[in-house]
Amino acid sequence: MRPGLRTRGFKKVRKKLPSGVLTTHFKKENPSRHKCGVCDSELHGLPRMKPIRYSNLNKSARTVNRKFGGSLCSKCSRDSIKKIVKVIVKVNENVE
Amino acid sequence: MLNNGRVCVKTAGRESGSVCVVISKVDDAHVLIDGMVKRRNCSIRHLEPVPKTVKITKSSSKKEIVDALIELTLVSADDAKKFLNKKPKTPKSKPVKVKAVKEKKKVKKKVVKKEVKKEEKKVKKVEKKPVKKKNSKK
Ligand SMILES: [Zn+2]
Repeated sequence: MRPGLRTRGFKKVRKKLPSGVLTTHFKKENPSRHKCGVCDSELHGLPRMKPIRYSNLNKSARTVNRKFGGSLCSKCSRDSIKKIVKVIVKVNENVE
Repeated sequence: MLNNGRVCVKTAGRESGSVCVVISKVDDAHVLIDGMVKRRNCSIRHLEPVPKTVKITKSSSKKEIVDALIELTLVSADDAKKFLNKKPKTPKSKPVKVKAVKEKKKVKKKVVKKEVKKEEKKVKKVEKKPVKKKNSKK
């Protein structure tokens, strides 16, 4: 094995070549999928890339165009907005 | 619950979190809304009602509705000013590339000359041949 490949950052895949020889191929793993901050479910519409490549994307490709988009799922963002509305209403009532 | 003039907060879509007012009822499931959003039909399921109402009519303008929301302290004046002065996004027009006009080389009219040359050659051939033959015979 080449010294530069002797790290655990690479994923090793055993492959059988057409000639019948067994070899190992080295792959860099992608990070795991983005998850909701509240319910831990996987988020839709976000690519799975390394941070360096991710930062090269457009803003619209990196987020979801919604309040809390890209960090919370649609269900949790809706719930959190409802909670915030209730808090604001209570504060306004106390001020009056 | 969602009568005309009821203040709501949108909970879904790109306008989620923004305050709006119900203007009229469309059908059992939909209402027409306006305020800090685009004037459009909206599903009831996407609205969270607030226990406050505003006196409006269907003909009242967007600015009147936003001013009413500012009075209720649901919208700050700065946000409203930003929202009202927001220009609709238009795609950037690409700068028109002006191609450097090259001076065209004067095209020689070869066709005419060729015809002339061919005619000349034919004439020469016709002239020469009999001359050569005469010489050879002599
Ligand atoms: Zn969630």
